[in-house]
Amino acid sequence: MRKDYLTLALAKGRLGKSLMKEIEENGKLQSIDLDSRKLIFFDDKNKIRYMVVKPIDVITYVEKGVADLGVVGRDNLLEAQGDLYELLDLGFGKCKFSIAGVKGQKLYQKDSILKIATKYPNVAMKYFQSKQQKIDIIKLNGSVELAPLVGLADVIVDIVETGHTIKANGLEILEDMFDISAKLIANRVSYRFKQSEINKLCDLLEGRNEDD
Amino acid sequence: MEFLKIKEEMHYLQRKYRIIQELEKIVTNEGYVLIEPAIFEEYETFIKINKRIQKESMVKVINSDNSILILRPDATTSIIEQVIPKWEEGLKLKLFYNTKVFRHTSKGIKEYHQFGIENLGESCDYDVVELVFKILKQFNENYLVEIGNSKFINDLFKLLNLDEANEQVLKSYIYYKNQFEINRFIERNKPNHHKILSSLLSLQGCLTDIKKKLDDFTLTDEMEAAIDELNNLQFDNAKFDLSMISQYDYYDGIIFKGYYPNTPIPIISGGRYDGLTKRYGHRIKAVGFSIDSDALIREVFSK
Repeated sequence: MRKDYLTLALAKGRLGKSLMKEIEENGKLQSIDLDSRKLIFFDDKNKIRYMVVKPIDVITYVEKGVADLGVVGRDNLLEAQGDLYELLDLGFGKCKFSIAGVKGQKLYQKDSILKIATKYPNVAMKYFQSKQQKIDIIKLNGSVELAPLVGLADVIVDIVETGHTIKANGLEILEDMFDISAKLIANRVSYRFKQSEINKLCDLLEGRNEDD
Repeated sequence: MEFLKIKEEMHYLQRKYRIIQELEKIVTNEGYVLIEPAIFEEYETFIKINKRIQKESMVKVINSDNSILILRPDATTSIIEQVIPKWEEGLKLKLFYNTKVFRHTSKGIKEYHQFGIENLGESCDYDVVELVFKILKQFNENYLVEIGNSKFINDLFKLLNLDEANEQVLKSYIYYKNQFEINRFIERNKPNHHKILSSLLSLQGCLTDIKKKLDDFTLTDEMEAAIDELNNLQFDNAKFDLSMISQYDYYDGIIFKGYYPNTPIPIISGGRYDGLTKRYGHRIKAVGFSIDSDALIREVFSK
């Protein structure tokens, strides 16, 4: 069934929505209704099969080859770098990896070991290792901003888009770590077998015209 | 739910064995003889020679004299270590192995079955690559082999003349085919000869197209030589890629990977590694490949 289609794994939520907005403005590809409960969609005109998955799982789907391509935030790639290709920077989904803590507190002198709450333990570990700061990581799966307020951690490492959530909870950014944006990734084997189709899709996504 | 019963399991084992026998038949017909690589390696020696290998992925064992050994993470190094000290001038060896290698993964120690060949003492890129195509074709008509030459990139890096840290960073961008970061790297560091670097990822496909693209650049003799080495490897189903980078840094010459469309990892990988032999005492001609036999068996069973 639809064997010659390209399969693209798409992150649910913020990034998926941005991609659909991008596609609608672009006009070349068919957008899909992410609010429906369906998990697989087809763009029959351009021969693309979309799979809607959790952001952190996009890399897994692409690495295992069930999806040829994936749209994923650089935050997830930094956390779990799979053995794949990073073909495009899509230019949307821009935000920052930042360290945030309770406003006005000088945290670094309190204890030799800094307690960090985060959804991204690998990113935090690597970053602080390069700064030779000893840390203790507390892995959380959401509402990370709560951790410094209730004394679970000294600071948090998280992605920050507008900074509203940080501010609303009485926290402030202490340091920016990396820039984040959406990336198009590809399975290394699919890339070889479907190179011309993938290149064509890259051109469409980058807004290049076929006749250019 | 019912799971595999012992009878079915025996049946699978037999089918697996038949696939291995088929491989053995192909390589013995070409004159390769079986070698049994040693299972233990000295940890210190191994990491000194394979600098880029991940130390945490190696399975360590403590010897009775308290020295640290590892279970072989690849067969090639073991074989070279066994053979090179006894090397005689003018010798030609064709060896094959059917063995296991061991690595730590996030899910504990894993055993991987590997079948492979090493061709020592001859410059015979053509014969070895031809054998790769023969093996892939045997099990599935739909296959591809990507071929590169590490000499091209190595010489480009000589021209770029970067410090060690920057070189590793840039190599990882190339490995991930990350044009965006390569462009940013060029903007930041403005290295010499960055024109080839910025087009590096486009140097793939059929060799004629690649050569046409290269007309715009002045190449070093070493780069020209690297492309010449690829000239007679233009088999059907070959895709050339001058930006290919291997995770093992001992390759110095052609490198290749063989794929089937429904297996997300390479079935065959290999290349020329004369430089590795030098680290064990004699620089000799050496080229070889290994087959992920677990992946090959899964591929055959899936049909």
